[in-house]
Amino acid sequence: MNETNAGGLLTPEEVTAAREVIDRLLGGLGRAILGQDQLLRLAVTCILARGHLLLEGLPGLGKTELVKSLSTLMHLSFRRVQFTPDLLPGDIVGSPILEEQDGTRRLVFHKGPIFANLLLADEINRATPKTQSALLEAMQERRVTVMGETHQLPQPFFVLATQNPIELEGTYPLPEAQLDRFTFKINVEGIGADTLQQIITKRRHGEPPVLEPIVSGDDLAQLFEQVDRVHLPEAVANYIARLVSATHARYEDSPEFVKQFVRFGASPRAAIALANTSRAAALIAGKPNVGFDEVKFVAPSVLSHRIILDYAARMDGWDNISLIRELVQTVPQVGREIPADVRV
Amino acid sequence: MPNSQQWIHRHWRRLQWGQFLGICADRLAATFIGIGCAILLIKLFIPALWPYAPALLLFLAAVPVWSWFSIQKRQFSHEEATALLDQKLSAGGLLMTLSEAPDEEWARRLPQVEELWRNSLPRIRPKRFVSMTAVPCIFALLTCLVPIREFSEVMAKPREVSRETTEELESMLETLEEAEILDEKEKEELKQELEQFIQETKDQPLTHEQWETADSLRQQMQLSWQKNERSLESASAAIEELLSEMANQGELSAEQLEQLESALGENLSSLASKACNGECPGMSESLKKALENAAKSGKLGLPEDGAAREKMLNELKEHLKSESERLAKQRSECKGLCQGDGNGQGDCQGEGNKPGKGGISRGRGDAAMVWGEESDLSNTKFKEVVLPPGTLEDPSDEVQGITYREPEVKPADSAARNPLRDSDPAAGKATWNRKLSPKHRDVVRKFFNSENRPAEVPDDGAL
Repeated sequence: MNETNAGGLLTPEEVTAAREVIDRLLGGLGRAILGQDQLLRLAVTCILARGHLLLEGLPGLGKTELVKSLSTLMHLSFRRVQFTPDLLPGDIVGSPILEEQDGTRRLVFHKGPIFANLLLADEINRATPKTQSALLEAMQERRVTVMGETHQLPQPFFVLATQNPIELEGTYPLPEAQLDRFTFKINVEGIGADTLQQIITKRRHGEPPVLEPIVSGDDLAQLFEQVDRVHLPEAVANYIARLVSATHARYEDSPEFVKQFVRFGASPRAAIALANTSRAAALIAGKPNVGFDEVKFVAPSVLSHRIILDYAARMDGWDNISLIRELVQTVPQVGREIPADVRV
Repeated sequence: MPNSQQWIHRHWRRLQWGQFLGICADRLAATFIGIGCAILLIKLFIPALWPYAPALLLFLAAVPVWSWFSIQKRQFSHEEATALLDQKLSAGGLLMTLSEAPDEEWARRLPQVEELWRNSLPRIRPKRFVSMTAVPCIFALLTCLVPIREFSEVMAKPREVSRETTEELESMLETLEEAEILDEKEKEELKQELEQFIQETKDQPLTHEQWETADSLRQQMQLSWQKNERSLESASAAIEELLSEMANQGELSAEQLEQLESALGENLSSLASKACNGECPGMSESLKKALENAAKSGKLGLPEDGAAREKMLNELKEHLKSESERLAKQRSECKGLCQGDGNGQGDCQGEGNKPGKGGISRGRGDAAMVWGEESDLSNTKFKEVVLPPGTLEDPSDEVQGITYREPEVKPADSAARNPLRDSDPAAGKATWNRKLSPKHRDVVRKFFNSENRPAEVPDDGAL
């Protein structure tokens, strides 16, 4: 048994219990966000993998509402920061304030909104790079350092950010290092007419339903522990490694379209994220192990924002998502195929 | 409950077989093609190796062994075989997981029907194997049906011609020896040359130079033969003249008679020294003696007595006739001597190798050249042009200047734009530039550079 699977396989009972909690969570989210099952499933997968989530979509599609619902259902502390160009790093992480106590003055650190389990960074690309980078240490190390003093963030800690793909004037595109720290980037798609009909029928003024916490802190901690115990077979790990390597043009086995269109491939952090989120997806699917299907399910959300395409790709009508989807179809699940002289 | 490990192992074995068959089919196909090409090569170019051709089958036997060892190096790993079977069973990774971390509870979630496992195993595909190897195999078999190329005629032809030429020359020399035409010196020289020729051309096709040597030897021997024949003919003619003069008394002057006897002696001197070695059967003693005299002094010494003289001449005539017949017979039997008979006389048969008669060994290289059929000059590209004379027109004999050495002329100074220098007689430039054509200047230069130039030369060169 490899190191990552220490603790033994999850028992069927454990998987069933976890599945029940997750189903409750998904059910609650489904009440708040209508017609976005795939989005909800991916969001929960990201949360269970303890990753940060970047939601990109047009205004009014429920991005903010999804984050608020998640915090409510999981009984987590929630802060929302509306990113604007004049926002300063201190406005997020907090700042030392000179206070007088018992006749003495001293600098007392006042925690910023980042000290919460769930931080909603709304329209994150509207803040300056200086402010955006205030999140770097918090997202990776889950702590902040102000004036040489390090402060641990509450556990668990998630950053759920949103950005608008249009209205790009006055925005600052997230740097690659920042993007790489987001486990998932999900494109929030529009909804169909049926869903719209449901919304206008059930919500006259657009107000969301009142949600009650469903998942306790203990439940969430147990889910995290169970996700870690989901088995990742060697062959699937090999598939993940080959998939991430294939995003690099210099990798000899990468497909021709990657060599032609990709300037920079995904980082090792992408492989780690792919493995973790695949485990979470397997648990959501009620399995004690990761299969190839789970990897394929999460791969577009994990890899699409971690590759940089050549200008020729846009000329030929490729975008990040379509390229990753094509890559997932191209890279074989098992490194070697069945010989031609045997027939299945 | 199916034993998953057992099925995984069976699956792995099938994969190994499939890999083996794939590699083996490719290599067998290549080997069949290689063997076919080798057979063709042997049959068409190295037929001597054909008895060893069955050894090629060893390659066929080696291919499966080689393929088996090859797949050991790149065989499917256990994880790969398990992953492939997991996919076929649609187990969602559970089979892979249980293979690495066995768990009885989860093992019950695997497919329980053996038929599903069996259907997931790959099956051997002999069709592909056969289709890959059939065509090359048929090719190899067909090459066995190709007849071995007969090299003896084609390759041995040049050597055969060389041998025939050598035999012919030897035969010619032998005939010349039998006919006692050659003297000892000629015989030795020809023998040496022929031996050298034989050594050089032994088991080898004749080169251009060797053909020339062969022709030279042949011609040399033919000339000796013809010389002998001409001597016989001349001697016979002289005898006829003498007999005729005796029959018609006083027809020839004494001087003419002396010339005839002298010619007869000279012609017979070469024959007499070789003919019969002095032991010709049936020849009278007086004739033997006369011939010996001819061989020694070049004079036959005919008797003065008319009857004895006529008798000796008749006997000599008969002897020359028989000698001529003998030589003609020998010549007809000798192939080489017949080839050189350009005038078509004699009893030679088979003139196919005469120059210009289409022989296979030579072309028309030594055929007679025909003159008088030149092409029409009106159609030639270059017309005849009368060139201007080498000297300047209107040469003047006036002395322009006298100098002890070659005039120094610089090209720039020699131009017509410098009239002062041109008219300077001391420099001799006027002569140089105006009166001497270029080819004459070389003569002048040569004169002044030779021993004939004056010894005392002033610095300025002018007198």
